[in-house]
Amino acid sequence: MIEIIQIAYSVFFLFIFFLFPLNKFFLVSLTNNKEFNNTDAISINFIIHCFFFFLISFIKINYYFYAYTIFILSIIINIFLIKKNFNFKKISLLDIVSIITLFGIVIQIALTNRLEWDGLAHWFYKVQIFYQNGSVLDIRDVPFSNYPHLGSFIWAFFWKISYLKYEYLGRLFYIFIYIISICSLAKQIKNSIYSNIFFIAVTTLTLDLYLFSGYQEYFLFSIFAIFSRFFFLSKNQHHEAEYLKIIFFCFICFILFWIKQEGEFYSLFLFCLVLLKKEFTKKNKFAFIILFILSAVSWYFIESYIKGGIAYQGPLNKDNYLSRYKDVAIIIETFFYITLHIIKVMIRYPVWILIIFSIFLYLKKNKFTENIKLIIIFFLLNYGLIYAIYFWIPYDFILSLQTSLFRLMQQTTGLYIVALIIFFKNILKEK
Amino acid sequence: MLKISNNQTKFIIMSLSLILILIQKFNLLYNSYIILREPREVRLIKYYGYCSKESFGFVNHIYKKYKFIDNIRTYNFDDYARIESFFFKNKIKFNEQYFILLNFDKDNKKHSDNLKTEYNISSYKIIEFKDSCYLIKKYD
Repeated sequence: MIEIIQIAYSVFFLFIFFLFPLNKFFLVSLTNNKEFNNTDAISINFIIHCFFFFLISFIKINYYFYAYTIFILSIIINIFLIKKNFNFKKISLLDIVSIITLFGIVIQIALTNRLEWDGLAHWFYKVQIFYQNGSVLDIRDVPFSNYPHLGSFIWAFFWKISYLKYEYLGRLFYIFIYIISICSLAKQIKNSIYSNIFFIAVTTLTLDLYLFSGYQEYFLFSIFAIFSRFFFLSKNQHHEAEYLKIIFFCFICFILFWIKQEGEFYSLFLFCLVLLKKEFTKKNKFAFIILFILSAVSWYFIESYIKGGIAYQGPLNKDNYLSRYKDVAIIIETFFYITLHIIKVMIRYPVWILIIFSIFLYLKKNKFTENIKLIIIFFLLNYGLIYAIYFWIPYDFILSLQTSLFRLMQQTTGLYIVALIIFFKNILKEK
Repeated sequence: MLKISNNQTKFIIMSLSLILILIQKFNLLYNSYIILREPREVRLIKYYGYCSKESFGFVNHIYKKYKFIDNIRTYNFDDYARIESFFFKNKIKFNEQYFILLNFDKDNKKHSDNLKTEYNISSYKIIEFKDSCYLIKKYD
């Protein structure tokens, strides 16, 4: 029984922890936008906390002290506000469905508490280092030290502060933010039935328990979903709040560098999207460019200092690459195999079929809007990267396609699901 | 008295049905029951195997019995990830004498060759074994 209580408490802890510093009321007063809700606040707070998790991963800090200071502050602030504004009628069906889905996944993970291949062979060493109060420099001594450490740090953090000290309790934050990020998107549809359909369809069609077993894929997925929520579906009520969005996107770009190696490229892609968006003023875009360059430079120097250089899984050997593709037939064959495997993954995660259909149907009735253009630009950059990776890979690329393509594609799906929201809003004639 | 309209009744019935479907879809109650019934270590052995798959059970038994201070290298001869990280101690060196071999078949030439060429172990003494799992001591 104690394990079930601990699981419930861990989920409750995550809710309270990530309801700080912002909540619905602060967010509304800060942005003058009344459409924000607590799920949005948790999404924003998650990004802010990730940044602070990154900072504290470099210093020796008492995890309990840090966690419970935030927890208590959050309780004090939120209890006061919720007590004042709470109304049972405001709890929607979507809230209940989200909580059941969250617990459904959490209990399944707790039941098997299995770490799959990459979890055991790559990430868990780093988690152990942080769990045992090690330093970020100790990462140099474990396998795959070139992999970034943010996900492992957060995992170790929540593992450490749990009462039962079961490893999987540290991993619950992946599930938590996965559900919150989809719920935050679903709440953008005002029609209750459609928002529930969206939530259930997306969770059903993107859920892969294997990827909750020690992988970082859903971390990236959630960050993309959060990005798309605020990038595509949030209009500024007044221009003064625009810089807040720019800072927020900067945080996202910065965090991506520290989750997985692909994050470096994703960060660059999101950077391009922000620059292409007409909503932002030139002044804010300039500030964004400066902050992005600072993020990239700081990533380069910190990584070089910690690990003695930037390394990738396979060597980026130009000569090898060129010699392999002298024959056009090989280029066509490789292209064919990659495309075939992309289609296979789209069938494995059928949310892709929904996304493609919704964009197709949307474009049949409407013109190319800025948002659809930006989604397509991101798609081209994203899939350009995927083709480049498998063209470049120095070893058996078919085996790599079979073992890693589905993960690469799943990482960014969080951004594309916004197309479903745009489609639903269009057929419901919602603004 | 609380009055409920027809539409509200329909909505409540639909919502409840949806909630029940979700609970059933995730096997929420049954899985919770299993968690209540089986301690975590039992579940770990069930899903990682005692001396099969990643062989958590055997490795856990070895660590508990011999109380090694060092990290022990764990080699899995089947297509499973090494469970070494589960027992990894930071800033502690790996023991150069003791090794755990999992899913290892002594009579399989490929396994023996791998042991020699990949892991540099040509002669050893078996300290403990169960089925295809071994704790060995390497001879210099």
